[in-house]
Amino acid sequence: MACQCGKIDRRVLVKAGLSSLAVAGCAGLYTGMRSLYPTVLYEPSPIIEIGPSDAFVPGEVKSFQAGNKKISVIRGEQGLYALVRNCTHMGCIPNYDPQSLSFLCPCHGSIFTMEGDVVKGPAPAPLFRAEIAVNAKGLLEVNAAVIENDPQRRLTKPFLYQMPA
Amino acid sequence: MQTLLNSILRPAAVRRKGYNALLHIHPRTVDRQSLRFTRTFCMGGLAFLMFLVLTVSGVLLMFLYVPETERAYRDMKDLAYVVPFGRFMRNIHRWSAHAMVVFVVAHMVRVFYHKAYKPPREFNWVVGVACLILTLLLSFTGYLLPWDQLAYWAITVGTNMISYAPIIGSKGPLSMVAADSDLKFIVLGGHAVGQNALLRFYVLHVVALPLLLLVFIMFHFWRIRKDNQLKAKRPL
Repeated sequence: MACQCGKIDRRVLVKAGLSSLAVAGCAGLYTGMRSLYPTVLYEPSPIIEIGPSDAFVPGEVKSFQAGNKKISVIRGEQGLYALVRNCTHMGCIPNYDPQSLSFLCPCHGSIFTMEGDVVKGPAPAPLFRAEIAVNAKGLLEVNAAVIENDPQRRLTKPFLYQMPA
Repeated sequence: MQTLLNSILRPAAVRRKGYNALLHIHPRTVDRQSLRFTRTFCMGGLAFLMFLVLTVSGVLLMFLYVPETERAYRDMKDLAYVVPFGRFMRNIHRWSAHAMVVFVVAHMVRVFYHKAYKPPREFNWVVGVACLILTLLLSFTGYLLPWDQLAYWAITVGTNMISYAPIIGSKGPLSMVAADSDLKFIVLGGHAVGQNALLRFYVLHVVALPLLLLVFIMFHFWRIRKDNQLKAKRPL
């Protein structure tokens, strides 16, 4: 005999209960997952001041830490550029080798030229170059959050700084 | 699933059916063949033994290790040089972890060469693969915790691979997400391996993955009995 105490059918009650549980479960899942997506990151700033442009001479490689990334500022024929020394293969840091004038990645052996182009794999793409420009104080500033490795676009502003004549 | 829950919650009612995950793997009558060492080489059992050793030694290590970037490496050094038996405990944990991966893989190889993945046991093979994946994930998450150079770069490389996953990786095929919202970002809790990543790997390593693996291990054991893998084909 069905329950006489109310107007709601028992099946309806069970279905409503299970549906509510499912909805609450989905909401809980979303809440949990959403909370794991950081909205504020306490990571170091990717912007770093590297001093006046005349401090950089041809043939010298100066390295800086810009946030999570290692930066090497190089004065090439066309001007100054800031190589982001994160290997395009798996993200290790290639080291500058003054003997061969190239960057050698310690993890899987990729080799890059001073321009950041790949000489030897497994790296699939050239090293990125970071934004480099003069700030309000008249000093050079590198922003490692803005990067480019297209062979054409990396030779344009703001990825290449033309030395003042 | 319901039977599994029943077997845990109401063991007495289902015991006579042999569905109890907490009690015997072996049925009342056992085939003489299945008692021979070369039948299993004890690989699955040893993998489970390693899981137990890792749980106990891991809990002990949790009292002596803080997953904080300034402290993690020093705590690991303290274990080696300051804490009485600390180095012993850490090495027990470390070598058992290596051994567990070896035993799990050896168990899998043994099952493969004995054709034991075939029906009626094909579903337990699937459960076993889940256990393998969880074992490897436990191994991977534990790798970061010493917070030394090897750990840091191994996890940098490992999590960079995640960004090549299809759809949910920012560099993978059919990618539908940006670098700021892909799977690598949520695993690390940031753009690079840092404090968030260390904490996440720690929580996964000590709570989430072991509990999940325990559930799958119980399911795996219960299926052995359910599939009558060890039962005598004729009375002894």
